[in-house]
Amino acid sequence: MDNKNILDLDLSDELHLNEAVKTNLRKAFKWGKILAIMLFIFFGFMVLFYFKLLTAETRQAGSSVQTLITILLLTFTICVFFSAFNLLGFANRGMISLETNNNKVFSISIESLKGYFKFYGIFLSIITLFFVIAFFSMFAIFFN
Amino acid sequence: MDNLPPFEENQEELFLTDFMKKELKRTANWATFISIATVVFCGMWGLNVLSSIIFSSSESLSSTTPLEVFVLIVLIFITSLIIISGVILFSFSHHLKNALKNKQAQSLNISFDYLSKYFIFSSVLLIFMIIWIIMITFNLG
Repeated sequence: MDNKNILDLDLSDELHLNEAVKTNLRKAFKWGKILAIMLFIFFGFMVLFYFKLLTAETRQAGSSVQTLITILLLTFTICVFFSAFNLLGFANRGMISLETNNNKVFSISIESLKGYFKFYGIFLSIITLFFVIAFFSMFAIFFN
Repeated sequence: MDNLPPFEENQEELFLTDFMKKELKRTANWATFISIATVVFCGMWGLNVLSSIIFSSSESLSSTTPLEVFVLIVLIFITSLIIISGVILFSFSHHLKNALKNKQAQSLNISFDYLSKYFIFSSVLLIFMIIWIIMITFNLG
């Protein structure tokens, strides 16, 4: 075990995962799974909110701003679903890879983590864009 | 999960292959982007909250209720949580890049520790978001 730690601190060709890394990875997989389940719950409420908004919009005969908000919300909801799906994949496959020392499953798990961050990045860009639009429209309304 | 490779391919220990390193590098890049976008998002959110307060107070200066003050405090708390999660994510990406560049298991260890911390913070934030979406959904109609 000691020898393994010494090797890990050296600059070797391969980056091996020692016990300390595995412990932190296990923790990341566990919390990743919790976060993924919560994201699925959030997704469920988002879908509910989306349908409520749609029915409210059809009652009021939607304007172009309402349509824009609906499209943004739909994209946002899809991003939430895919990020939750990828995160669950990362956690489940990661746990299996640690139990079985399977490098292929571990690489699929890392791919899923990248997918999670990718969808989360798109999702965050959409909300930031939404806030930028809201900020400038607030100014436009106030000064008109 | 059906496409999992057979267990005969299992090795004695896990190591990072070139493909994994490439994917982890992309993950680190996305994480850096998200951490920066998080700070921009918080800035825009703060500006929106501030401008709405300024515009509403210019119409009715003394009409701020204790509930509005409470909501503002909760918003400041959530904003600080978002900023902290962004900083943690930036640390994760920084240490991950460092680990991949210098082949250091120590940095890799720290980066995964930051990743789990980031997931914990995100879970707390998501609880607030779920409460918020429930409140909006059931007051909409």
